[in-house]
Amino acid sequence: MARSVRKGPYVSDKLVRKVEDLSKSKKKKVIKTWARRSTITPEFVGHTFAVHNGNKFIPVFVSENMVGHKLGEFAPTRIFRGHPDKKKVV
Amino acid sequence: MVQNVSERNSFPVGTVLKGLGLKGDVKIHSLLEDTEILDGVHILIASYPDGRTENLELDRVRARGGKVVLGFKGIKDRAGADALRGAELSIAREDLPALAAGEYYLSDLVGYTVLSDDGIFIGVVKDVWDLPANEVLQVIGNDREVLVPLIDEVIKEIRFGDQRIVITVMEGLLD
Repeated sequence: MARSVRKGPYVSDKLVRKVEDLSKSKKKKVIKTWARRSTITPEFVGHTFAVHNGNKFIPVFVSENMVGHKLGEFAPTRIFRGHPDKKKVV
Repeated sequence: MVQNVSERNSFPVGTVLKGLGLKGDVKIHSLLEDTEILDGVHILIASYPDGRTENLELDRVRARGGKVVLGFKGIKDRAGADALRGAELSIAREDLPALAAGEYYLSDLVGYTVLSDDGIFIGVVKDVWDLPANEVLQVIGNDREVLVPLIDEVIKEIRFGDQRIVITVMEGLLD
């Protein structure tokens, strides 16, 4: 069942505080978190989180199109070791 | 089937799951993001679980129910197809299509040495994971594993000549 609209999205208070502190200090730091259920807010964009997947902390760089999703969606608990043919540009 | 197998750098394609139909086709568990790469390829290297390898001449490629189906020249029946079960398929590096300027395959980074911008050794790339947010380098250092995101803020420089990756160590990245 979906979360009540009245309550609004769940965002971890701890994370919000850490992101605010980093934004104020303009420092770049990886924020370690277990809060996979936390929704990504626009303030998180541009920050890097190390999201726990039950085994490791997966580095997740937050971009604009990730807003509204949960952090856990980007740290899969089962790693697919594939896509060797994926190309990147330097 | 071509029998001469040479020791070449190979590029993984996937694993044969089982035969499909009666005409010698096989269904594979593909590692590829896009099967387009197979269009210009004629030879696939099959490595069997018992250690044998052989070159197979690729005849046809199609998709079926989310899986990739391949057909090889010289394999025309179900028994021949089932004999390939469990074989790991790969492409020789030199058979891959040419890349545009500045492009590289993610798998090219495996084995590269990762250094911090101060020149401190961090480790060697063991694997590259294509995750939903960004790609991640699995780097094995001195007795520990470090996960490095493949993002502009961290990756300072990739030196293809001497197989080195220089990264900016963000606070908390190596914890």
